[in-house]
Amino acid sequence: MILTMFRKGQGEYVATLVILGLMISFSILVLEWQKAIRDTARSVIEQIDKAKETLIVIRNERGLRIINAWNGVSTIAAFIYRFISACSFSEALSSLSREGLIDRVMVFNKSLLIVELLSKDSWIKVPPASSVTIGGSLDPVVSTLNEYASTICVYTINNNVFCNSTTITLTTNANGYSKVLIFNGSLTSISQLAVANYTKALVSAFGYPFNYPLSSLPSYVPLVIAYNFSSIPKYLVATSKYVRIYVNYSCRSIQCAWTPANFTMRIDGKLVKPSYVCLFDTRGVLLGCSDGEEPVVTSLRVFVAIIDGVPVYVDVSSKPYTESASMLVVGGLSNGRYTIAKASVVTVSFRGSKPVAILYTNYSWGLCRLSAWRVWGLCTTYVSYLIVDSSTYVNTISFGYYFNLPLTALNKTTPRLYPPKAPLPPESSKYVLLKVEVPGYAPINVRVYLLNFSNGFGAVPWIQPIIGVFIPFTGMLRVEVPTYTITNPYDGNEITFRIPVYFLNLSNSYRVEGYVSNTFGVGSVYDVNASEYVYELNKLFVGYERTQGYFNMGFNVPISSSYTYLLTVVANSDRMPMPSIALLKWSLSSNYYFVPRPAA
Amino acid sequence: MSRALSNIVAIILTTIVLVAASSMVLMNSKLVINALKPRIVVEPKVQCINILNSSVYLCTVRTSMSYCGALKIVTTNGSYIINKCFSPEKPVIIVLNSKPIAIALGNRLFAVEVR
Repeated sequence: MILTMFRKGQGEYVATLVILGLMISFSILVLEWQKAIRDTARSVIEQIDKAKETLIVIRNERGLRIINAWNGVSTIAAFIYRFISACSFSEALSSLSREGLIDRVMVFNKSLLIVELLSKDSWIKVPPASSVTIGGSLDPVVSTLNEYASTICVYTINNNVFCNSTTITLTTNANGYSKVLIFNGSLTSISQLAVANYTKALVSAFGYPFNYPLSSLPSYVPLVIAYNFSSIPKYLVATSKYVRIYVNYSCRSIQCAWTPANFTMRIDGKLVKPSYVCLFDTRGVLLGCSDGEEPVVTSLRVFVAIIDGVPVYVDVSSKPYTESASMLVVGGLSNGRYTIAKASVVTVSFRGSKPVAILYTNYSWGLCRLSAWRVWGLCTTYVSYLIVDSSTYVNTISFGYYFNLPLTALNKTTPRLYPPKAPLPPESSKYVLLKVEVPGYAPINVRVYLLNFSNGFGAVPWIQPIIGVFIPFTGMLRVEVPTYTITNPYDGNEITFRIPVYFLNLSNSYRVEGYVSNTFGVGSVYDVNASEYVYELNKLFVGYERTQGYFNMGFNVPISSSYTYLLTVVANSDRMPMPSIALLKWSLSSNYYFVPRPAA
Repeated sequence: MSRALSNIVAIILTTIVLVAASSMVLMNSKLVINALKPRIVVEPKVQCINILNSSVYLCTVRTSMSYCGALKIVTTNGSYIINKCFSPEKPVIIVLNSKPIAIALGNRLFAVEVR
């Protein structure tokens, strides 16, 4: 009977009910899977966003400017303030207390950190391609701590931390340039310089014929080159070509590995992998260095510039340096006819990760005749040294120096005409006796004018013992000698020649105060490369003379002792009736000491 | 009369059989469907970053679905309990003065991602 009933349509009814039930169940299942897939996708997208997120934090007197440098929205949930000393930390806390803001922060005494967690309602959103300025009434904690903190970082809900640049405001602007130093090599002596043409060339006054100091480079021009020193001569001959530098670098983390692999430069089509990258502020003071040997773990990331659209950051190194390092900075600009160079050589001595002394050498250039290459070239007209100890300027001095650069690589210019042969110079009737006392820092460069040489042109003897701080104690003495002037019989122009010095008589003495008095000749007479070079060039004759000598500075004395150092320089010439004498004397006071050679 | 009665009895019996049969099918299918559903449980996700090489860590705490209750964070220096409402979208930010190791929800333990 039941079977009969089924036959009458009950079976379809049951089947419909079952299928309907299954459909509903599977629909619910689909929805749940959809949600699960969406959640998984969102988690993956979050991970990607987290890796892509880039914020540039720029700090100024008013507070922070946070620039969104990626294509997503960043949400700032916390600020982190780091202090460099307990003193500034304590002052910051006092200031927060005074302002009634101390409850808004979390203080970590041991780490010298203050963390300011924002409430969810106060999270700061930074949309793509935009920036927000934080400070003042928007966040009084930022305004208060900005004065004391060495580093301010922002923490985003993507679990990223971005820190500000240094407290030194760099002259950076969009598509602008700032000084960054990239170098390769260590204590290689530099005998020649490279010149680079820059695409952003500026018109500059160009002095001719001699020793016109070139106008200093505007701060926004110089970029930086630093290159494998050993290959610079090769580079020289190619400088007539345009040189473009492409810097490829990316670093999203606050822990950036400045390995050659991720910081490369393409100079003139050739890939260069510098092993060191350093940053200087606009005054030439080293802010930080990084090498390519190991990842540099640091919190201080400095936004340097945008070079060819690529933001360049430098992380101040925390890696201990155990020795000094020399670096080269070259800047160039062109007036369309000449390419002019400005360069500096920096020697930095590290104690641990801290630069304890910086020798900063700055060159300006003038046109001169180069004997070595028998061509016209650029010669330095002065060198200035900055000695920096703990970021404090100790002294600034200038003295003459030659740093020759052939002009073959540059656009040629017309050399000045000279008479066929320099006539015998007149005898000088005067001599020099000069006593100079330079107190203070011992390895100081002494600028002394040897006065009263004939026909003006005070010559400058100088000593370069500063190098002796770091490398073997060998000084170099260079004396520019008296000059005389004659009239060119061909064109009536006055030409100045120098009287060659044949030898220098050096006596060197020191006195260790209190218990030792010693005088020793470090070599009574030093031969000097002193001669007048006369070359024939297209039937015109040119004269050029250089004088220099090396002597032992005698720094085997206990360098921590206070002593007086004396150096007598006697310049003699058969063109002078009497020797010219310069007595250089300087003493160490108890306030100054040698910067010892860093521990290996 | 007897025919009409027998029809009614037949209908009642048929209905009972059908209900029993469909219930059995639906119950089995529910078991199957439950097995096919994605696993939905509250899972905490904690990501931490070390701050400036110090002992301080900033962390974001999220959960796979909205959850209000306690989470226990285990660090190298002890455990902390956070009693808040968590969601997948808006993370809870916490600051720790020691390195986080794991997070516990009930008796389940989850790893913490630390950078």
